Amino acid sequence: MTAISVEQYGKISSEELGPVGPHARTIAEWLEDVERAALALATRQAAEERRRFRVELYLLCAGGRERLALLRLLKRFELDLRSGEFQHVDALLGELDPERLSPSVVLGALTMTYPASNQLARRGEFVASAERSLHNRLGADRAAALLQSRR
Amino acid sequence: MIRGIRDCTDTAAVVVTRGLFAMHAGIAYADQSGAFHLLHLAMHEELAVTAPTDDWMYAVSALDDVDQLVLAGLCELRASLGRHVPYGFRLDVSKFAEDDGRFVTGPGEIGLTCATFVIAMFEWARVPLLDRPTWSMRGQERQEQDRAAQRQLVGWMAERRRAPPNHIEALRQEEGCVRFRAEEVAAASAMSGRPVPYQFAAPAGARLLADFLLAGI
Repeated sequence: MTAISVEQYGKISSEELGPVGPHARTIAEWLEDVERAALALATRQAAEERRRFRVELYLLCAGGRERLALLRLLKRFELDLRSGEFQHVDALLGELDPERLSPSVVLGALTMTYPASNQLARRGEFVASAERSLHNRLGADRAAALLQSRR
Repeated sequence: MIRGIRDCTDTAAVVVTRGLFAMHAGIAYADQSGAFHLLHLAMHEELAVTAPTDDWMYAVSALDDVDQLVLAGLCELRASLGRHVPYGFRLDVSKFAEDDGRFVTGPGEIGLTCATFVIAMFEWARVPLLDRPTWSMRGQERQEQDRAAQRQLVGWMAERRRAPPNHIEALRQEEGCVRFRAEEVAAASAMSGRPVPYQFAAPAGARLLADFLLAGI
């Protein structure tokens, strides 16, 4: 059998390749599986990284280090938005619990993501939960004033 | 309305000092450790982060404490993103790209002044200071004063080569555009009812300037 390179595999159609054994799958099918597995792994890793980031923010806020939490959040969003990674920002927004964040961190998240609102499908949910949380903690009038230009 | 910078208890506040030919403005912010820094556009492509000194005074902020925290966070973020903010007089739509802190000039605009840098930072934080379109109602005398101040500064920058020749020429083209004064920006930050229109900010700025001069700094 003639050895062929990985690059060459991509140029061979399933018909040309044909089955390699009784239970064989085509190279194309195998590559699809590899791609799916890689995507699932990357998704799991990203979810795990977001979980760690959320926990870090919650712990910093609970420990009275809200300035550090705010800066971490602003820097993260700045980097993701500059890179066009809107899906990462959106996923994080959808998972953050405003109740476990200091008000400045909640408002920092809303401030940074406001201009990209159209590209962040889950931002609306975050706004709604942020509104409830700030209303309970700061009172209706103050919460409304703080949220006025950031919804 | 204004106090010595050493007495500052705000997390983020507008600060003023004597500039080359007029007042100079910036933002004082406390970092996460509580240490104060001054963030100000000192000159073309010279965004400065300096320690507070006694020649600065701050306007007691009327911002909610939480707004101050967000503004301070953005100042710290902005300071970490580099010093390259170009100098320019006209501010219509230029802004810090609200999603990532880069400075983006609007069509026909070339940069910011010390005062419009502060305005842009507050707008990035979603707490606009000035009702900018109302500055178009300033009178003839004021317009002439502003044009003269702009011309004086451009002359100084050209003489000292503080910007490339093509940028100096672009600045000359902007002479006569609306000029927001440092003292107006500082005064507005101490007022409720933001964004503050010209008819309130201008006299408040004049009072703040008088207070600064009376303080003998």
